[in-house]
Amino acid sequence: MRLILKVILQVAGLYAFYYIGTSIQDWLGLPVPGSILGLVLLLVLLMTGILPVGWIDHGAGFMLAYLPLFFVPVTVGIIEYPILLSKTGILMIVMTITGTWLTMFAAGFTSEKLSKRKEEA
Amino acid sequence: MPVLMFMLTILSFMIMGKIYSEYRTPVLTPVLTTVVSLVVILLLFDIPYDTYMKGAGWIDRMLGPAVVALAYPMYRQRAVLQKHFLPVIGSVVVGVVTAFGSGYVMAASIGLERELLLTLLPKSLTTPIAVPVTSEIGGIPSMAVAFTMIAGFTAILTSPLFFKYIPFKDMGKGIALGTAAHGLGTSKAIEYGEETVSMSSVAMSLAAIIGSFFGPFFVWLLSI
Repeated sequence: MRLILKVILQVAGLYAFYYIGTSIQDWLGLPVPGSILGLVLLLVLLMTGILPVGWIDHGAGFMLAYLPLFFVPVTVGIIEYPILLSKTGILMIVMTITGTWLTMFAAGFTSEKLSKRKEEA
Repeated sequence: MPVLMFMLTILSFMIMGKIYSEYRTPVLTPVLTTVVSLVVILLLFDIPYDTYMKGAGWIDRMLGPAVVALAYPMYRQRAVLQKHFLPVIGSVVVGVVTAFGSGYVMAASIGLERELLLTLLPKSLTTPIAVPVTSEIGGIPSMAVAFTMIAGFTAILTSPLFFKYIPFKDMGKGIALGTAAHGLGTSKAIEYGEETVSMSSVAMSLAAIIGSFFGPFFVWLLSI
């Protein structure tokens, strides 16, 4: 029972961070999504030890366990874009696959170079 | 009707989660199977998306706070990040720039219309982050989810061959998978060992944060 209460309170806390994030975005007119500003704010408070991790761990664990469910509704919106099944859609899929390979190469290659330099130093 | 749509979404997700835990293959990832089954139901019964969202919107509103919750796993990865700070940050930055840059160059070269071009950019980011980033820069979030999944499955299906010809070390493999293919890539990293998994998770988190600041900046810079 106490655990359930804890989860509910901590989820409310995460909502507060989300709200603060979107407010910051509005005030400053930033192009970065408010949810991400909330994330970064929470992360900074955790890293600096201002906010003990025990204040959010259960709530965060709960939200993350159901995270995939939360983006189902927006994804179902694909129903309004049959363009994905057209020639343009197939081209976009090909570009996604190519882009993924290029990104894998660029990230992996840079890591090999940077960690080698560290070993030599 | 809204309550029905709400229940339908939850129920489908629970059933698909059960099926996934039975077979544990990435093709049966609950999001994918749930979305496909819901799309089929909406088409069969001729239910417009707006009607569906009247109920499912309650679930959608949980996404924002859930994104904030990602700070928790990121905080727990701090030791790994501190240990390999420079190579990890450096390679993720290069990876994110490559992801957005290559997407832009390819899409612009075939003259893809603006909204679709923007939709293609955030595909390397983890889905909960790709959704708000896509809507922020003016793309179509639902289509972006499809592309993030395709990016993920590209890594799952082709990385064995990719790493055969381009043999990165364990760390490089992890950073490549996490930066280019988020959680799905990280699920594949398990096959390459523990070091690869932890590197992939850290790279995914970093790419998410860097990408959500870089993405809007990139779009502004090129005034797309």
